[in-house]
Amino acid sequence: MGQWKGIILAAGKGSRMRSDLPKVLHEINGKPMVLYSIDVLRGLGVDDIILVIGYKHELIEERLKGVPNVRFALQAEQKGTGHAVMQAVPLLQGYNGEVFVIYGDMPLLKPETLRQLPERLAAEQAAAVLLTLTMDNPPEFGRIVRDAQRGVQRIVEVRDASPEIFAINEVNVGVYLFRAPLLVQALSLITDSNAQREYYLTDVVEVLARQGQRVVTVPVEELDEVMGVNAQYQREYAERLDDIRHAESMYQLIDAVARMRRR
Amino acid sequence: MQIDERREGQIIILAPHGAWDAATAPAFKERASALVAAGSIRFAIDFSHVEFIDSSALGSLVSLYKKVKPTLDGDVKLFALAPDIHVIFRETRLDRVFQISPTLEEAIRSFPT
Repeated sequence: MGQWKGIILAAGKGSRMRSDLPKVLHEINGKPMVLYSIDVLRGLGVDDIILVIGYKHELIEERLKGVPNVRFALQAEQKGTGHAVMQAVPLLQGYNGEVFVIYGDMPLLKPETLRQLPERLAAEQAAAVLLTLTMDNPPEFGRIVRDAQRGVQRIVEVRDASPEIFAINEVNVGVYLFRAPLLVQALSLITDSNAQREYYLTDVVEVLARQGQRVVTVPVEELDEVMGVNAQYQREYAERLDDIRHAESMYQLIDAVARMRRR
Repeated sequence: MQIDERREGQIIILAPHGAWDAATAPAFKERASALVAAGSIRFAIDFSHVEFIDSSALGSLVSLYKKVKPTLDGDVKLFALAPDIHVIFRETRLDRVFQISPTLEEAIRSFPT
C-alpha cells in the first residue's frame, strides 16, 4: 500500500470552455487535463486516486478506462467543493493516513511543489497543509486569514469577503494535504451558510483551527503553476508555457550568439 | 529607445527602433505595462525598425504575453521581422507563442473580431 491517497475534483462542466465536453477532458498538448493531475499524484507515489466526477461522468470514466489506481465518486448535484469531497469520504473509510486534494484542471502543477506538502505536515505536526500564493492584485481566490501567531485561521472566499479581507494578498490556490480522519470529521461540521449556498472545502480549515489543530502553508512561487484552465484561451496559454520554458532555457545561448554577431 | 505607438481599433501597435537589448528592453516593458494598466490587451509589435534583439527583447515580449493572455484573453502578435530576427523566434519555438505575420494588415486580421 502506498503512502498517500489523493482526491481530484473533476465534476465541473466548465461552461466557459464553450463545449459539451467535461472540462477536465479538454486536452493540453494532446493529453486530457485530468491525466496531468493523475500523473502528478502518481509521480509522488500516490497509488489510490479518487476522482470526483459529475457532469457527463460517463465520458470521463470511458476515457480513463484502464488507467490504474483510479476510482470514481459521483457528485450528482453541484453543491460546492466541500460537498464534492464528501462524496469521496466512503472510499476513505478505515484510512488513517494523509490525503491530497487537488483540482483536475490545474495541469501545470509540478511534483516538486506537491512533494513539499507532506514534509511540512510532518515537520509542523499539522492537521492540514495548503498551497498559497502571495502577490500584488492576486486572482479572485479565497483569502488566507491568519491569527496573531501567523497560524491559518480561516479562508474567506472573495464573494464573502469584506474590503479588508479582500485586500489580503495571500490566497488559497486549492491544493491541500489533510490527515484523512481529521478531514472527514471536519467535513461533517461545515454548512452552506454563505453567499453561494454551497459547502466550501475551505471551511474545513476554520473548523480545524477552532478545534486547536494546526493548519500551515507552503508557498508557491508562480501563478502560472496553479492557474486553473477555465476557458479556451487559458488552455492555449497552458500549451504555450512549455514553449516559453524551452525558449527561456536558450537565453544564454542566444545572447552569446548575439554578442558574436555584434562584433 | 524610440517606440512609436498607434492604435487600430482595440489593437495597440508598438514600433520599437534600433537595438532591443538589455539596455533598451526596460523602456519597452515600462511602456507596455502602462498600456496594460490602462486596459489595452491586444498588441501588434512592428519589427520593421528593429535592428538587433537579444534575450531581453524575448523576455519583455514574454512578460507582456503573460500579462495579457491568461487572465485577460488578450494577445501579442509580431510583424515585419527581418530574416535574422525571425530565425531567433523559430529556433526558440517562440513563433508558436507569438503569431508572426509579414505585414501590419495580416497581423491585424489575425486578431479575433
